Amino acid sequence: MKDYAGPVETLIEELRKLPGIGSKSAQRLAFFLIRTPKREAEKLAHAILAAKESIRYCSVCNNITDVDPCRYCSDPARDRTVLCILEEPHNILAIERTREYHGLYHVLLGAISPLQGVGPDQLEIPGLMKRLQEGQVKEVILATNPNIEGEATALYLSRLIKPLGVKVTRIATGVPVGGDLEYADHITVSRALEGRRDFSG
Amino acid sequence: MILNCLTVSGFRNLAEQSLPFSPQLNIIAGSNGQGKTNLLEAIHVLALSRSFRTHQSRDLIRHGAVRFRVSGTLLVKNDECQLAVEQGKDGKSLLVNGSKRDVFDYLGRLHMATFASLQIEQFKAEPEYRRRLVDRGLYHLQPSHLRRMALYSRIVKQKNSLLREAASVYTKATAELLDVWDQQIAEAGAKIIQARQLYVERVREKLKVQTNGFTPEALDIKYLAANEISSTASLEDIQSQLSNRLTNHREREIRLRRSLVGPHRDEILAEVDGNAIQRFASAGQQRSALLAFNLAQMEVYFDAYGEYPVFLIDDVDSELDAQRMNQLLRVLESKTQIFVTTSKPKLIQAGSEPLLRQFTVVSGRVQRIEV
Ligand SMILES: [Zn+2]
Repeated sequence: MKDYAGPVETLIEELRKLPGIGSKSAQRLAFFLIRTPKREAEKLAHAILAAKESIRYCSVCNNITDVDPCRYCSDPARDRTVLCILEEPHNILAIERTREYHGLYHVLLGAISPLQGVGPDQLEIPGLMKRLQEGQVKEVILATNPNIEGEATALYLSRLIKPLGVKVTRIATGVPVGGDLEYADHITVSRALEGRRDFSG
Repeated sequence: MILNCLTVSGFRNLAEQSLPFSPQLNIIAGSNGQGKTNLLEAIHVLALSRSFRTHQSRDLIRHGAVRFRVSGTLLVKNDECQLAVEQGKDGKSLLVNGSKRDVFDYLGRLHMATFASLQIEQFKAEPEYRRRLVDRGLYHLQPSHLRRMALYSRIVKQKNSLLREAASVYTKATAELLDVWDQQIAEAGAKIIQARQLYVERVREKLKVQTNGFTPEALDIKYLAANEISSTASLEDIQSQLSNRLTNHREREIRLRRSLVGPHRDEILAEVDGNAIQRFASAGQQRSALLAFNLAQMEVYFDAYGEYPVFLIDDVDSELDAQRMNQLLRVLESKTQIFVTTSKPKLIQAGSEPLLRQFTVVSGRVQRIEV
């Protein structure tokens, strides 16, 4: 049985699918949107579609971008001998905020987690290996999240990368164990970058 | 540590009420089914956020109520602290001085030892319960142990999930992935083993010097880590021994589809004259062993904090005869605050200078009575 008219119910249902939005928030947002002028609603709908249509994953590093390759990959000023490996595109911002890292990135789009059915095959590892085999990269910084899934991913990659003769480091876990890079402040992240250690998987 | 006051609402059959406790002996009397154990359970929930009788906290909500709340004023070395546990249909909140905390930050504030018939059976029959007794004592001393255990158990879950896959297809890639989880088991596991070894050693020392009449002669406890790891091994040493054992058990783990090596499988043995109490001791000796173990843990705790955890005893007269019960209460009331439930309050003798308070529970209503 539906509580509201069909279109309102549909809007609430769609909003509820967004991360961090429960039923109450979804209702509040829906009624806010219904009250806003039609022009404003159109702007929002258009912004969502435009983002969806123009944003894609960078074909080199899997960052989300509107130009391919992304602005990090195509920036001639960046150090092409260092590669920082991350789980998700938004983790790049945590590293960029430190203003201390000038190398390139590679985003795995996930972390190893058997419980969620995620193994190495579900991650963007082939592209990473291809980049490393090109021979320009001298150091890889494993900056996967400091929780057990991120650690498993780092251990797995380190075993894969070491035989190529590339230096492998892991960011220091000044970031709280069990935490997410995203929520660590930039001082913590820059300490973690600074204190990175040789990594033996 | 003293629980000054407890307030309950919506909890089991207990009426909504506030109870002022004695800093020493609190006797909770009542016939069976009236709610005296529910009151003890409420204190347990306040300390550990969960019950000793059910894993489903929602079952604790009184029939017809939408939520329960248990709150208490804790006195730790003259500092007051307000704790509260609230449980609704959709979840639990843990509060310290009115602000919400996560479970790692909440647990380990109200420190408590418990003694109940159910636990004698568990102590005897369940290795997991004995590990839990040790881990609980340990995280009271090192709060970080709780996070260490949570992390470790997630590693084991992940590995078990991979082992179930490996049982149907075992490829080189699966082997490499298992290596990765094994390395984490060895690293995190070694830390747990070392911490437990040090702790068990301290409890053993206390068992040796206990002269309270509850220690059977020659009671000893042993921590068997991965069957053979020496208690003097270094962290690196423990880790490499675990790694070897993991390698040797790989095939068996895949066959049985679960993780067989690591501190989650370790044994804590209690022995009298070299014989495991699980198999060879009388019911009386098993009971005494658990009590002695509890009392030794309290002394280790005292060494660290200069005061004792509160002590809960459920149905005290069902497990101990009148003489031993009174002897135990004398030992405890000189040290700490005690909560005992009983259906025969007359059997309890007042101590020399006890600050004794007696409550009776009738149909969930708790009343203080003058004695
Ligand atoms: Zn890119």
